Amino acid sequence: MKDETGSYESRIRTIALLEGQEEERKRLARELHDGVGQLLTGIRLQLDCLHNAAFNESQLESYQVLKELVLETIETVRQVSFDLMPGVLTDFGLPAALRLFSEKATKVSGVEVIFSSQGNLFQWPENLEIHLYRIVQEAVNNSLKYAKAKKIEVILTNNGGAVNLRITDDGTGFDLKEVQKKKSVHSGLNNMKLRAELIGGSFEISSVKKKGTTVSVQLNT
Amino acid sequence: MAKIRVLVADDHTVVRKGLKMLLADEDSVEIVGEAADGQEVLDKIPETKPDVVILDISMPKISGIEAAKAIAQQYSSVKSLMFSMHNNQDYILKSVENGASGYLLKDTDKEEIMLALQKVSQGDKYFPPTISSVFVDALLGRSRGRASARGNDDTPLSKLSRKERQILTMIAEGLNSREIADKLGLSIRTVTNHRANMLRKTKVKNTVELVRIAVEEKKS
Repeated sequence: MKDETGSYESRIRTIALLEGQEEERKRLARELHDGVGQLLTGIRLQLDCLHNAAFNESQLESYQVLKELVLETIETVRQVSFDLMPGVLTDFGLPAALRLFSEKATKVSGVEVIFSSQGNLFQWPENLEIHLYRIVQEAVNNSLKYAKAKKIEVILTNNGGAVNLRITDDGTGFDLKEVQKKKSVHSGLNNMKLRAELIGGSFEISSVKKKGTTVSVQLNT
Repeated sequence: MAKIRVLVADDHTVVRKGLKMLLADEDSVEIVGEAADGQEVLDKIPETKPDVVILDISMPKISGIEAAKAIAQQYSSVKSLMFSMHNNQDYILKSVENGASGYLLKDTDKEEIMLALQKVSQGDKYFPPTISSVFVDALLGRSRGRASARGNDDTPLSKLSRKERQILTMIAEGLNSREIADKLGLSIRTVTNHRANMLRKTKVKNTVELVRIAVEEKKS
């Protein structure tokens, strides 16, 4: 079996690498959120104990700055942990994670990212959910980065076991052949395709210049 | 006025210690005990008789959310106040659905913690403004994904936790408890407990019946 993603052996290697990477991301995300995050909380609480201390002016200023820095660090840890692997994906499943991802993406980019879903979506194995989540992450980030989209829709449906995931934007669109030459975009597209195939799904991407791009994954569960 | 009796539950010593020190000079509050996991909380309630339990969500053995549920069921006079790093809708709503009287983020300052303790101990609910907006969003149905994701809330399966659903799916695939335990990296005992809990929660007679419901729900 040979295709654009390389030989069969190299594909197996890629799969193992991807799955190992996800395991590691999950571990790191938890460690950051529950480990470092709690230590920071401890610092925050101890700092608060100095609330009524008799500081002079410059000490008081340091104290205020310190407090703000700790809060900022807690927020950063939350964000980095979320980017690595959202806890909500493991704890509440794919739809919850996609909704949160869309909300955050909207907030950060100012582009409207809308998530909707239909059908029963809660009985999937974790690795399937992770791959679908990463595909959405990659597709939405591409749209935000290159497509100048105003609106991105993420739609997840399950119709009696036929699962369809679609990410559509109204951006500039592109010529697939041209894009294949750009290494970074090319590898992103291949990654999505590989992930889709890994969970036994089919991957499609269609793009029309000045109209927008649709990425879709279909699989039977 | 009687002091508010508080039991602090968090698996991180630094957080428990921080809370204790922070509240130490408050005359209206008394820390009556500490617990490092959800089970310890439940064990310590009878002897410490708290008015409020400050609960972390991610704890070993029994999570804070499960502990809040058990507290609401077994000790109606004890109020749960969640104290969590998680600042998103699913954790907040799930906590409230399971009987929590309040929800604070771990970067909350002392005044707000005190306010929450007072409100909650009086039988009121307390949610800071940033969190209240979550309820409004949920009410306005901005969380369409969530509603449909969880299916019909009246079905027996909606009562199951994520882990339990995962186990149920594996049972439906024909795996036995040992195989499930191996696959999920759990002990057989834990898997057996999950199976028993599923039957208790769904009030279904046996696993065969449960699998049948699961298969039917998957088709719909």
